[in-house]
Amino acid sequence: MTRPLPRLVGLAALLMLAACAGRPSVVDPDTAFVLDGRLTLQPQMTWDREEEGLVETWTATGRPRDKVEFLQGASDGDPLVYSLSYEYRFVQGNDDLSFPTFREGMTGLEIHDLYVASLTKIGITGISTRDVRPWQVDGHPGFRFEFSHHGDDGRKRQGFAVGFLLDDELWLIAYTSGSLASYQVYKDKVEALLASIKLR
Amino acid sequence: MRHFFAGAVVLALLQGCAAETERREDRGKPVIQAYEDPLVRSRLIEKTESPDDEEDAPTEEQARLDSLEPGDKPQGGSDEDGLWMKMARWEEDLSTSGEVVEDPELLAYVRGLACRLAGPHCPHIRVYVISRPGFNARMAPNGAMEIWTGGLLRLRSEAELAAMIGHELGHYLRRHAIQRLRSTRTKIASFLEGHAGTGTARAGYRDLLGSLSGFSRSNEREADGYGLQVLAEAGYEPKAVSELWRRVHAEFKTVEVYRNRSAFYATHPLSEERAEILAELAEDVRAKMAAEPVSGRDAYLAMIRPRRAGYLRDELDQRQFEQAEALLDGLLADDDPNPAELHYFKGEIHRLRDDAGDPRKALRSYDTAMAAAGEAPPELHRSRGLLLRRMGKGSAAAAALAAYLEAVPDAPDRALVADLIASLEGQ
Repeated sequence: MTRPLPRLVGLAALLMLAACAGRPSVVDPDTAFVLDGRLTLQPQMTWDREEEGLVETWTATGRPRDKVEFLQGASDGDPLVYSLSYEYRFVQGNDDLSFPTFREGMTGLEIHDLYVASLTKIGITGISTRDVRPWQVDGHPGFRFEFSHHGDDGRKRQGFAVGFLLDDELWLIAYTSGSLASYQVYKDKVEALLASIKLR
Repeated sequence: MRHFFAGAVVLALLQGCAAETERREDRGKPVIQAYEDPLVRSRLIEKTESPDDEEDAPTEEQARLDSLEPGDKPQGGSDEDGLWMKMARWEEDLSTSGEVVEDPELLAYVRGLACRLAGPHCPHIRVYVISRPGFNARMAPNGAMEIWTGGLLRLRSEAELAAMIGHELGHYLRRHAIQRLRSTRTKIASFLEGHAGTGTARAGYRDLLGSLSGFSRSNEREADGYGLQVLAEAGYEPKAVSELWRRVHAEFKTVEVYRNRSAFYATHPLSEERAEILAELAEDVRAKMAAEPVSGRDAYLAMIRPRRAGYLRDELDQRQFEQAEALLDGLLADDDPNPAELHYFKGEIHRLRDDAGDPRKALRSYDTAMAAAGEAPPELHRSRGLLLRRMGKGSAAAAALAAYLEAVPDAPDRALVADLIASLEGQ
């Protein structure tokens, strides 16, 4: 049976997307950046940033080429995916908002599975993950994995994601690159960014 | 261009096709020519007509459109030419997208069957298998056909695949896309003339948009008729069409989004009655076949079974649990030689849904899978371990996770699984 809460959250997310998208700003490389008042990090370089609901996105050269996404504290019942692709919504004709959702008490393995399911749900294919392992953020337990998949433009994308729970809410930071060259250029910057995270 | 095979039933063409089968003396005559026979209304056709069909009937101009001859291309500069050019760009994008399945064995099988069914049109048909859950296939007016892996998952035999492909070929040969485009243009012009500036404009425009999605009912019926015809001519069991139809209806009626969406039903009337009528027509066609028809079930299942777990995983990621359960129950009821795999996925439905009572049901399904014939994916142990942990059974969870690592020594998540085992053993 479809549970109503995720549907409402998904719908709310779409509305938020419509309301909030398209207001980019710039991240100063030399100023510590605070996310949701609960986490501080050093940006390492200049990024363009946008916020859509719970998701903050940074990019150096444009989203198709590279992006760092910060899911800031998903609660029980929240989906990880906050926007429907054009292909999913209009070409495939899906009105279905029953997204895979985060549930309190999930392990890193289950969150990894949830991430993969969320990408599949919005039409991303060829998803592969590897090196799924424990990871720590500022001494706090979490997990990490590498991934690759095809975008709807056919280009192969790769990246890595880290996740951890704060006050029973899920934080997920994912770096996705649209090309091997771009991946090499920004990978170390993103690694340094992750290493700089301090929980408040 | 867009369409779901599910198709409606019975156009006059179905009867035309049956009548043609009876009349035809030359069994080697290309299917396409048979398709040109005049439409014949019959008792069965009348029985399936609904008041909606009058508005949906092809206009005189559409009915006069000739079917494509092998190698036909639209006249340069025509609206149809423009449509083909657009579809060529779409096909180029599709062919380089990550969704296209690159599985030589599967592609050779599907394309081989499509070529056989298309006969002289074979060189002009290009089939792409798309990695996408859900039951669908689509045909572009320029000869590009999409078949979704979710469609392959739901078919049970080569005969059913032939029905699906034949239906899509019908859209192509009868030029349904240009019919639809011209009909759309007429409707918009008529709407603007009749409603612009009136209070009913908004509602009328909404209805108009609804009527423009996908092919029309009459297009779908025509395509279904074609599907039945080519299926029979290739020697396959004509009953496969109604069987497939009935199963898909049973599965899709569980899905809220389809139950509540008139647009889908507007062009894809999923009724038991129509399935029954298709079955009746299949009997007529079958009686006139020269040899006993075949289903091609074994060959089809041998091709699909090794790929099925991946397709089922994609379905579960849609989180349409009722639909997935109906699909699995249907497969289990069909004397499947690998029930272990199916019971594992039933367990996954319950574990992922996690409603009251689901954990116990999941555990029961996993246990059934381990005892059943066939082979469940080794991920069963991982899923079982995660479930047992959630149920507070730490040591049993650790044992199940350890069994997973033993079964998949190079598991990509080995480090995180080992970490979880350690934490469970430390509790």
